Amino acid sequence: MAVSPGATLSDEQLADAIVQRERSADAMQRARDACGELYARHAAKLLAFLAARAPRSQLEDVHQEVWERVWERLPGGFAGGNFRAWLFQISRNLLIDQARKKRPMDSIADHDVPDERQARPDLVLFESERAAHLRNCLEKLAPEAAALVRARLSGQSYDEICERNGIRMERAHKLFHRAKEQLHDCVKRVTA
Amino acid sequence: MKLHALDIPDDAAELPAWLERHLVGLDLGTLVSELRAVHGTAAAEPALREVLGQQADAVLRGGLAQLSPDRLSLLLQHPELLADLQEQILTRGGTYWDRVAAESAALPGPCARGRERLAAFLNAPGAAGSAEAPSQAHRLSLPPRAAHDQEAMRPGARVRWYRHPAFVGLATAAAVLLAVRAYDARYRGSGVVQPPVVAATGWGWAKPDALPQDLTAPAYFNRLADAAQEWFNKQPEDAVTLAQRIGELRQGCSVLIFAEHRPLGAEDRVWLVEKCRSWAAKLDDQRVALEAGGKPEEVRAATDEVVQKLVVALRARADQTARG
Repeated sequence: MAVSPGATLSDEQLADAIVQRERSADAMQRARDACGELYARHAAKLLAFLAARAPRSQLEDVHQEVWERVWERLPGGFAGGNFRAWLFQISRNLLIDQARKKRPMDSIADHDVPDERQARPDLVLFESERAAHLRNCLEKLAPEAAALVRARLSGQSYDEICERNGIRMERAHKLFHRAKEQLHDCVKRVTA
Repeated sequence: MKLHALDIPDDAAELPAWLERHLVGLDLGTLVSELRAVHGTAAAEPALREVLGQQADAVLRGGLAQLSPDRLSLLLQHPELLADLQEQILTRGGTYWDRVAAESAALPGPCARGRERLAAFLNAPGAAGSAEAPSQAHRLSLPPRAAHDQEAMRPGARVRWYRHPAFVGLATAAAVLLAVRAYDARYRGSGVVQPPVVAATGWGWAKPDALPQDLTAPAYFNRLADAAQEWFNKQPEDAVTLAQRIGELRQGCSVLIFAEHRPLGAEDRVWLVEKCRSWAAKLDDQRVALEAGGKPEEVRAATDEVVQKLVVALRARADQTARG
């Protein structure tokens, strides 16, 4: 089986190859290969992390920015230890930098009520408009259907729901299916 | 617009796997946002460690099936905990989570594009951190892609160094060269028959790492399906770009026809090659239709259908081989 040259090295050994890149042309090539191997190992999970915390339209740019930071900052910024933890710390810091840029201090001062989220600029709640539409659409459902949606989306099984509410399984399925369609249509209509 | 939360499985036994896919996929943020809209915000949110309890380490090692339905329910009702859990999983999770991420259908496209961009960056003059490297302040502002492009089109606008046409051309050439080198390196001395006269592309079956030879047969078929699905990452609207993209997909068929497919048994190899020939013929038909003046949108729709069917066929074969 063919393996890439760095496939047998640990993350930390690959990181060290990047740190040593200025020594020679060969070292530079090894560093590039090492960076490619680290990317192969961690890019998918890093994308998942960033996708939950950055707007989708910027996801791939932010992802690229993280890897550029890795390349640029490894020589002086990585003091050994767990590379994966360091990679995610770099990512978190980048998200924090960007969140701060987007939210000037004067707009923060407008909030009278302390919000824990403000202390966590890495956790960005986005798509708030979409969530507001869904909330409004849910309120338009019949109370029984809305309660069923809430129960299903809190992980309750049909068995539990039917037993608790004294309804037949078939009716519960039908009700949920219809509520889903109504919610889809409603959200689609208001966002069109 | 898709509402992810409403796709919650009917069968409670499938709930852990459904949630796991979201935790390592690209739509967790949307799911959290939807669940928050449905459940509202509690006055006091429980901490993740309280919800996971003594199962915390077991979850990191073996997934959400370790949790009781009540604890899973708490995660859904307090969806911000899912973001915290995701961070734990991604930074401390074991190989179980690597496998879940590897099976995600949404990740291959962005990963492949990121790999190309990284290769271009690493091979750019000054990437080693010399004075030619772009300043940090300059590169940290990241407006949405559309805004980037509008900015670049403004007369007199300062074009980012990596978006300059000369650099893009050089970088593309470097990326292709890298891809071909990597492809050579992977196959040289491995005993794998290298597909002849087929240039590597940045996506699909013809990209350098499209055919890992160390997988099981089901995983191999699924990997081929994932690679084929990258077709949908771009939707060319003009005939020339569409013809080029169909051509790249067609190149991928040649790669498959000539490859050794070590993970597969003889019967599966024969099945795959026969299927590839059939898909190749259908793609050739689409290109001929396009070159004969067919409407790009119609040809693209027909090609979409071909790709959709072949992805289904590959996944079905994966299931079949998994069942033995």
